[in-house]
Amino acid sequence: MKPYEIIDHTADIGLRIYGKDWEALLKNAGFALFDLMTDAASMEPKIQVPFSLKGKNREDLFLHWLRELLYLFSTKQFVFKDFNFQELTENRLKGIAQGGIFDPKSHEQRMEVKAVTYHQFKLEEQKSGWVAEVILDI
Amino acid sequence: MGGRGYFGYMIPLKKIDDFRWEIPVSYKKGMRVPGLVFADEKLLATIQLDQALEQVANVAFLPGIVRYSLAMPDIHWGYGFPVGGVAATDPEEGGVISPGGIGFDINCGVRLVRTNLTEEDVRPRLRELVQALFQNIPCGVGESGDIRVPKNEAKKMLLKGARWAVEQGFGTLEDLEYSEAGGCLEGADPEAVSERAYERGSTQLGTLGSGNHFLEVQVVDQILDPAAAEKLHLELGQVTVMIHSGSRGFGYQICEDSLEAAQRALTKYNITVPDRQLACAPVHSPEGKRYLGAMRCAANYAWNNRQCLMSLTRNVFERFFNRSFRDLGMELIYDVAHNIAKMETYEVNGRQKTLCIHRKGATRAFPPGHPELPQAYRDLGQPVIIPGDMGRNSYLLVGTNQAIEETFGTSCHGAGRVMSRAAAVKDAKGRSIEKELEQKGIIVMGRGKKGLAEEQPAAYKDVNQVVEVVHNAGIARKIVRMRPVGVIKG
Repeated sequence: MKPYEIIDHTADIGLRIYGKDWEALLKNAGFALFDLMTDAASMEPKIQVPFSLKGKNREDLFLHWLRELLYLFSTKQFVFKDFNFQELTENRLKGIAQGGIFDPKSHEQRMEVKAVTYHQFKLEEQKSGWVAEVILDI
Repeated sequence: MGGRGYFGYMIPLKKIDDFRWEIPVSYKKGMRVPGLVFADEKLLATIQLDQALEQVANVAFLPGIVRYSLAMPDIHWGYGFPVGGVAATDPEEGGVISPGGIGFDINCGVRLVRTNLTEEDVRPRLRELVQALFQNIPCGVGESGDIRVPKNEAKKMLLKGARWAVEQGFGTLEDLEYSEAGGCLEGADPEAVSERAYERGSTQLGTLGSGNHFLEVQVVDQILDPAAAEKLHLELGQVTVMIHSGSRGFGYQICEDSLEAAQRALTKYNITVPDRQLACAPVHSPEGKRYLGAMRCAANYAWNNRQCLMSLTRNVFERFFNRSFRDLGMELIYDVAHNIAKMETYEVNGRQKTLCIHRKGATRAFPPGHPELPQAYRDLGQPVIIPGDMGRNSYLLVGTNQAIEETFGTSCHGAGRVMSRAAAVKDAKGRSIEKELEQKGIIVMGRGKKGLAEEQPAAYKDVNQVVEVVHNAGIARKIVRMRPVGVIKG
C-alpha cells in the first residue's frame, strides 16, 4: 500500500493518506508531511523526541498530530522519519519520534507548509484500512 | 447566465454589466446578502473551474455582513473565504470576524521600491545582481534569518509596528509614511499571542518564505497614466524592486490558534455557517477581541518583516553598485496588505458606520483625498500594487472613489492561480522553466526543486486580464506596468 498521494487543489496541496490500521495511518501522515518539505527518507536518524498528544476524537487527534509535527519542524527544524508509538487510542497518542535536524544548505528543499487546514478534511475507515484527506496551506 | 459549478450543478449568475455578476441571495437558504463578482466572461470561465463561487455564496451567511459578499477577478478556491474575497460586517448588528476571512498568512502583502537605475544599468550584470540578492535574502524551506527576536523584544515590536525595525536600523522613518496604516495597526495585544507563535516567529523575521513569495527586480515597461506616473517619479525603463511576503510562521500559528477558538464560538453564539473554515465570533465578543488583538500583532510582524527585507535589499544594492541606497534613489513607493481585517468607516444607508472589513487576497484601494494617505499621494489616490506571475507583468494602480462606493475601498491582489501545483509540475515536465524565462530575459533563482515548476507563469491567470477588469469596473486605475528581469523565490 502506498503511504500517501497528492490530490489537486488550485493554490495549495492536498494529501490522501492511507494506512492499513489507525497506527499506520498516523505514521504515514507524519511521513507525508516531511516528505513534502524535504527528502525525509534519506535523513540520518540522530535525534529522538518524545511526544504526547490528546484530541477530542480521531479527527481532532489526526489534525493535532500533523500540527505538532509542523510546529516541531518550524521551530526546531526537526525532520522525522520513524515514529515509535507507546500508547495509541482514538484520541490519545504518546511515543518517540526519530529523525534529524534539517539544514537548508545541505538537505533538499521541497515546499514550505504554512499550516494544516480543516478544509475538506476527511477521515474514513474502509475495508482495506484507514484513509484521510487533508489540505495543507502552502 | 448560469455557471457550471464545481459539483456539476449550476451556480446562478445574474449579469449586471460586462464586469459585474451577481449571485442572488435566493441561491442558498441562509445567505444574508447577494454575492457580487468582478470578472469578465473569459475570467469567469476559469473562476468556475473550482469552488470559489460557492465560497462567495457561503461568505454571505456571516452574521452582520453588509451589502454584498464580494469577489475580485483573481478569486480562486481558498479556505472558507475564497482567495480574492471581501466582506464587511457591522459589529453593531452582531457582525462577526472570521479568521478564515484573513487567511493563514496574516498581512501577506507587497511593497514596491523605486530606484533611479535603468534597465541598461542592471542588464550587463543582471545575473550577478540576482545571485547577490539570492545569497543575502534568506528564502526557502526552513531558512531562518540573522535577526533574532526573543519574546520580550517581540512584544515591543508587535506594539510598535514597522517603527521597531527602523529603530533597529532597518530603513528610515520616512519609509513608515509610505506604508498602509503607517506599518502599524493600533490595538495589537501581545498577550493574545500563544507561546508557539512567539517561538515560530523568533527566527523568521527578515525571511521571504517559499510558495508564491518572491523578490523581483523589475523594469517599468508601460506608462498608462503619464501624469500620475510622474507624481510617482516613475519613467519607462526605470528599475523597481517588488517584495512579496507576510507574517511567516508567527502569523500562521496565530491563525491556527484562532480557528480552534472560532470553532467553539460558533456553538457559544449559535452561529450557523455552511463550512467549518468560516468559523467566526462576534467582533465585540471576548473571542472576537482576542483574535483581533492577535491578528493585529501578526499584521505588525509582517510589516516589520517586509521592512527588514527591504533593508536587506538596499544593502545588497549598495554593495553591488558601490553607492548608498539614497544615492540609488531606493525609496519605498508603498506597502500594501492583502490578507487583513481592518476597522474602517463607510456610509451605509445614509449613516456613517465603522465596519470590520475582511480582505483575503484583496488590496485596499483608497481614493484621492483620503485622510490615511501620505501627503504626496493625497491628490493621486493610494498606490495599489498588483504582482503577477514571474514571466509576465506586475502593475501599479491607484484607488478610486468607485471602490469606496462599491467594494469598501478594495481592489484585486494579483493574478490568482489557475493550475494546481501538481498540474503545474506535470505541465513543466521535460522543460526548464529557468531556461524558458532566461530566453525572455528574466533571471530566476529558486531554492525548491519543484518550486519553479509550480510557480511557472502558466499556473497563473494573466494578470493583464485581471487588472483590465478592475480598471474597467473603476475600482482601481492603471498607472504603470512593470515586467520582471530578476526573480528570487524560496
